[in-house]
Amino acid sequence: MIISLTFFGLSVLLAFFHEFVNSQDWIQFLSVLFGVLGFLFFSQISTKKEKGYDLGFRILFILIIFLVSFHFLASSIDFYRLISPPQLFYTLKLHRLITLSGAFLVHIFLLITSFWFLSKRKKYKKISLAVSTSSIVLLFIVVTVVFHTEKALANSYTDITKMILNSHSSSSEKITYKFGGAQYTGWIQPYTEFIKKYTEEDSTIIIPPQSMVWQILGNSGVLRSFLYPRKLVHGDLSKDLSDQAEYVLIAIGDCGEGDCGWPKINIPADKIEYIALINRETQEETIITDRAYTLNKDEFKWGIIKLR
Amino acid sequence: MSVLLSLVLFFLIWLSGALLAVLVKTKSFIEVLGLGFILGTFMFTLSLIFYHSFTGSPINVQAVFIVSGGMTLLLSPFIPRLLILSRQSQSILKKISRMSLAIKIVIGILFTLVFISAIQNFFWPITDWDAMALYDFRAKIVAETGSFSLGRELGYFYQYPPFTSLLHTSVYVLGFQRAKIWYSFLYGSFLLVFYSLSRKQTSPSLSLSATLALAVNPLIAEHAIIAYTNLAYTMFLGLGIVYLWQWFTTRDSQSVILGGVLVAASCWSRSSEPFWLVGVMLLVGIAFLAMKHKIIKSFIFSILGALLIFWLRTVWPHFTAPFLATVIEQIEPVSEDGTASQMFSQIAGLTGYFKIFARIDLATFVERFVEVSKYFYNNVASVFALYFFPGMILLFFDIKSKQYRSLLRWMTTIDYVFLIFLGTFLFSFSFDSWNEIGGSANRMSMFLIPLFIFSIFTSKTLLEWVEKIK
Repeated sequence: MIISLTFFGLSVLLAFFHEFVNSQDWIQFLSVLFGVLGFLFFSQISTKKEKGYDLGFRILFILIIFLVSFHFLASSIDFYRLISPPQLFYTLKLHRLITLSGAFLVHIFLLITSFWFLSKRKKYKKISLAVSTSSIVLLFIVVTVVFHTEKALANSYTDITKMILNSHSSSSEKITYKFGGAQYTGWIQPYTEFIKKYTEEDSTIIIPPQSMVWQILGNSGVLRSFLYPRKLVHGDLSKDLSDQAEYVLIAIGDCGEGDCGWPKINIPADKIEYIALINRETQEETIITDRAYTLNKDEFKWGIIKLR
Repeated sequence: MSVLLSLVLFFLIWLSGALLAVLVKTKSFIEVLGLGFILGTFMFTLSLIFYHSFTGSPINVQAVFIVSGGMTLLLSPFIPRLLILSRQSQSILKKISRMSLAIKIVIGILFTLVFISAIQNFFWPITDWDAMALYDFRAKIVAETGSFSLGRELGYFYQYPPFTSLLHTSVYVLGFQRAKIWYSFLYGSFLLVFYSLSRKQTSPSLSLSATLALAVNPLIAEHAIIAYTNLAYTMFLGLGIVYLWQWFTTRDSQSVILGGVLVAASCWSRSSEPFWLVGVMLLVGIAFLAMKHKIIKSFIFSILGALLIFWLRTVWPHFTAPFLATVIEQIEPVSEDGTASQMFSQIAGLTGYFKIFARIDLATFVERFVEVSKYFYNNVASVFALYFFPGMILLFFDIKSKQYRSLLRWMTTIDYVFLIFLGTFLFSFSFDSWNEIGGSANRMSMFLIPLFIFSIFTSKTLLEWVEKIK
């Protein structure tokens, strides 16, 4: 009983750690391993009660222990979290099972299922866990499969919730969502819609270089799938731009990743037919004529320059 | 209407594949059910290219139905045999209903996973970078123009084999935009055939566990819902090698035919890795053994299988040569001392490596070896790490109890692991950015998963251990 509860405690501790502190795979794997070990020992404890009742009782017992200890652990951390208000999100998450990740929910389900399988084995006691290689190998294989099943089901569960969230979205809204939302790389979808509006299909556009600052916009392959049949070139900014293309993108990029702002040149007003800008937050579009382009990151964030 | 037409197309492709499976005397209905899409898609895409190439007709609705319908019509004499086999489905359902709850739960999980993957693939548009930049993009262009003639514009990515792109194209021309649904068909078929193959070697519960292990493997499950070529490649190569292994037990021509065809099909979905060579080696081994034991059919089919692999590797380069000729010049140099084409030729010929090794000293060599080992551990070994330890112990016990069949399986699998390590090591001397493609190396090694799982779960030692517990 003590051994099983110790393993069980370790499993809960690691499940908690995986949920809130560090979501690395090996922590989850260890959590499943300790959980199965705990169940293995728990299923060995003999009682004189009828089997059916006994099994149901044990499962209920495990479920209560698991949830109470998890909640207890969560509450103790919760107290610490409450002291630092920015972490209030965790407080909300802890007390509502539904906001916990799919991995955690499936974790409980699979641990109990694996316990149920293990307790079904009548002659399980014959295996001496400490000395038998076969037990260790079997346990390792079972835990690996349980761990992977947990991950696969949890991922499916998470994706189902995402699909429900997007059940009324259009195809382009789904693309924005899948790319991480309009505030992240999902911005590519509304931004390319804007570009398409201002450029002809047979035109050539100069795009930023490929780097972490312009992860998608600098990737001509991916960007091409949004803007085809327009031709995309990286271009040589030191040479005459109008010889190379009809348009130049204005793309500030991700300033957290490096030296943002593009194109990094000044283009005189006589070389520009117009500048079309789009506000990322409001999607408001502005057309500017008779103005030079300068590398002013506050004024020129997102847009396109029509070269003369 | 587009949905209806797509359903007809799916059925025709599945039917032609299933009939081909019946033709090579596949006896299990589950296996035929899975092989339907696996062989059907391969045959369909290959025939589509030939049809387009020889008749000059564009790839459009007519072409798609002429090819799929033609294939089915050609194989239609085998429909009665398929119908007889389909009677097995009733006994399969009866068997399932009599199985323990544990097994029913596992079957339930497998169905749930495939079903949810189908919903996911139907719901989400393609947003995977490589698919957008290449595989799906190419499919859209072909669907729009009806041909592959836009080679110059598509750049050097054009040289990648067309398997998944043509599958996408086939539904795009029908106006059906949810091309990702193909990956669920392939995923489900992969599991069915994998189950059927492992069932021939071990107990029902262990073969189901093996199928579950394969289905839930993080990489396999991830690729079931993204439009990359890796799932198809893993499916073709993994199953092909398992069929070839099977020959050493059954000595039947079905194993060697399907093994050869599936290894060849792997080259039709990805061609840059040399893993098909191991398939050829196995086929040559089979040819020798078949000759020794005077199994004429197996001997002929193993030789034909090897020839098919070599021939199929030439089909796509031959088809794309006219378009690629204009593109090669555009490939940019990747480092200071050479162009990409020079690098490729260095990789192809070992002479380049001898020159490189002659230049470097022992300290650099050892240092690079350690670096590559670390990289290998992080990116490649992670694919099979969890199965390595139990696998090696099972191998030890198998050899101890003189189960030499598993030695062949592990030799092939470990051979692949060494091949990847050696390849990465050699590659590291040619390309400065060798260690920046971890994700790609990870995906490339994905085909090891079915091999590891199959070798472990069909081990006689494991079966004995499990029997003891029962």
